Amino acid sequence: MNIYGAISSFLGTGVEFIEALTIILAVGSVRNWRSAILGGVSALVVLGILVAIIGAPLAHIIQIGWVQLVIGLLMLLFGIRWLRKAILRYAGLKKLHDEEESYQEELERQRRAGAVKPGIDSFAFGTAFSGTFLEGLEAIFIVITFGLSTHAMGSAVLGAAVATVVVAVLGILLRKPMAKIPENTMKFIVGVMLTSFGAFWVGESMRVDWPQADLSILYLAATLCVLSYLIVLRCKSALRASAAEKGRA
Amino acid sequence: MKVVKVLWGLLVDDGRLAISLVVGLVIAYILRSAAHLPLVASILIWVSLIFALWFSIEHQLRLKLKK
Repeated sequence: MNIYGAISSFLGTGVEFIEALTIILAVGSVRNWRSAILGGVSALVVLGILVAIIGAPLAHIIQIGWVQLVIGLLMLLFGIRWLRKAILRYAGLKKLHDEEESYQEELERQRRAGAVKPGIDSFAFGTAFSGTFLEGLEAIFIVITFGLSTHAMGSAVLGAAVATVVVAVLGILLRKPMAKIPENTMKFIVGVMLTSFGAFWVGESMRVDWPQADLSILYLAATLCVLSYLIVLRCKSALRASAAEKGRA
Repeated sequence: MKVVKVLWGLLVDDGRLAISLVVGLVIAYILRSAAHLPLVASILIWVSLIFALWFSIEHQLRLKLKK
């Protein structure tokens, strides 16, 4: 059991599942709960089959350099994108992702789509399926990358499974968007993790000489945290100065 | 074409970020394979992360300040 791999996978997939849950909750409450839940569950089944087909073979060829390079690059680009967005939000350069707002937008979109049909509602099923499938694809990527990088696929899958159960239970209990979960904080942490792992792995595929080997992931992550803090301070200070200047003008 | 756009959008929001990162990685690869400097290559990857993030967010800040 690799605790780091399990927690990383739990946090990473948790973010995706919360977004998927928002769609399912919105579709279910306006259109049809049965169709929405069926759509979400069907997507999870399809994704489970994909993990079984793609995940295991990848885990067996971990030593091959090109696999490290491709997955490392994807992880790096994916992670740094999350990190950038989280920093922009902390710095006030981008609006914080509002799950409540997303939920209301989805409700409105569903209302505009027309009346609910009896039986399986194809619109509710399709929306829940596609939303869950897209978010789940990102979750698969997270599970595979954390599983491979920690050499503990079982722990990464376990982390994702726990995240699925936790988010599902939260959804059942709350029956409303996960607006109170600090999504940006989760995205920031996962962004730092993915970027650090991705950079390390790309370097490994090139056979660079990381000082302290695997421990370099920690100082890469620490550097990114410090850098993010400094960038946020700098942006906030520049925005304040700009606002004060406009106020005087 | 649409699929490529969606995939690109899934991975990259800002071209500056991705391009500066990839350029850093390519230079690191050259340093490792041609110049046989594996330690310098690892440090360059590290610096590339810092530079790419700073460069991208600094651009966003300038855009915001111009508004």
